[in-house]
Amino acid sequence: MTDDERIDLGALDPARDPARLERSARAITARVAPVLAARRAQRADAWALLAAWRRPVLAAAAAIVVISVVTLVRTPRPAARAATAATVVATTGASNTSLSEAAGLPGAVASYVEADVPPSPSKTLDLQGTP
Amino acid sequence: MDVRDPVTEPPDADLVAAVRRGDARAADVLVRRHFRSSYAVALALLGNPMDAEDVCQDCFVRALERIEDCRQPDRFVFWLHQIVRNRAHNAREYRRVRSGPSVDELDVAGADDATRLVESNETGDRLAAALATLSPEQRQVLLLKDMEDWDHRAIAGSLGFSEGMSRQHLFNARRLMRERLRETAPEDGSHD
Repeated sequence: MTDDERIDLGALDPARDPARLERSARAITARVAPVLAARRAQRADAWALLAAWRRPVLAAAAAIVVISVVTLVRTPRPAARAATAATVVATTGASNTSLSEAAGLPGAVASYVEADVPPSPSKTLDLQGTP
Repeated sequence: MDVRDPVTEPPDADLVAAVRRGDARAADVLVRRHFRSSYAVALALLGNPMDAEDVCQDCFVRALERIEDCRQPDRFVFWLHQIVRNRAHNAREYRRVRSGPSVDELDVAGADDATRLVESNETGDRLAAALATLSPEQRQVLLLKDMEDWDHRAIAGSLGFSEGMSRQHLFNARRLMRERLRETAPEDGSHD
């Protein structure tokens, strides 16, 4: 199936009349021009909006930076916190207090908790009477 | 079909992106690049150069206004052709329902231009008459191939069928055109 000889359609080709083709192209671009202009304006508006917000955004960012720096400076460092804890232990003797006791458990109960050993049934009955 | 210098002739996708930003120059390049093929499609469906040109202009305006709807910018021309086909179909229906005077009759200046566009000599008339005997698909394939020099891959992409079908339509269209043109060939008057 081959028919390689093209048909001469030159008489129908709009490019035969370049001036007419030019007029058509210009007519189209002229009709579209308002839409394109609106798109450009819309983009320009978006940039203008960003520009208008630039100053307040920068000011807010600067304020956040200042507050952050002040907070960091005024917050005690880990070494200082350790020293503070040592002072507390020294003054209150809190270092001899177990975690269970610190949580408010009675001393007898706390010893079982610390040792991770369950009390016998009779001891449990005794502990129930422990204040 | 799309072997272009990317610097001097940016691809359609770049131009579509530029038009979306409101670039009038990119719109102009798209119009000039694809006017002829769109005209070929419109002419294939309407058969009338003046109507084809009107439809073509309307479709370009519509396409450029709704460029956001073009989901595959690299296939802009196929999308445009589909708009042309739909618009041409509507124009034909409108013309059929109205069955009033044609656009040419209403627009005297336009009619003059149209007469100039399709030569008043027999060549244009004979071509138009021969084209009218083909199917719409055959006309589109023939015009895109023999007037626009599109390859079958591009034609198939535009029309939404296979390259083989495009070749078959072209073969039949050329054969029928030759037959019609032979039948209507002017007689040689040199014998007198």
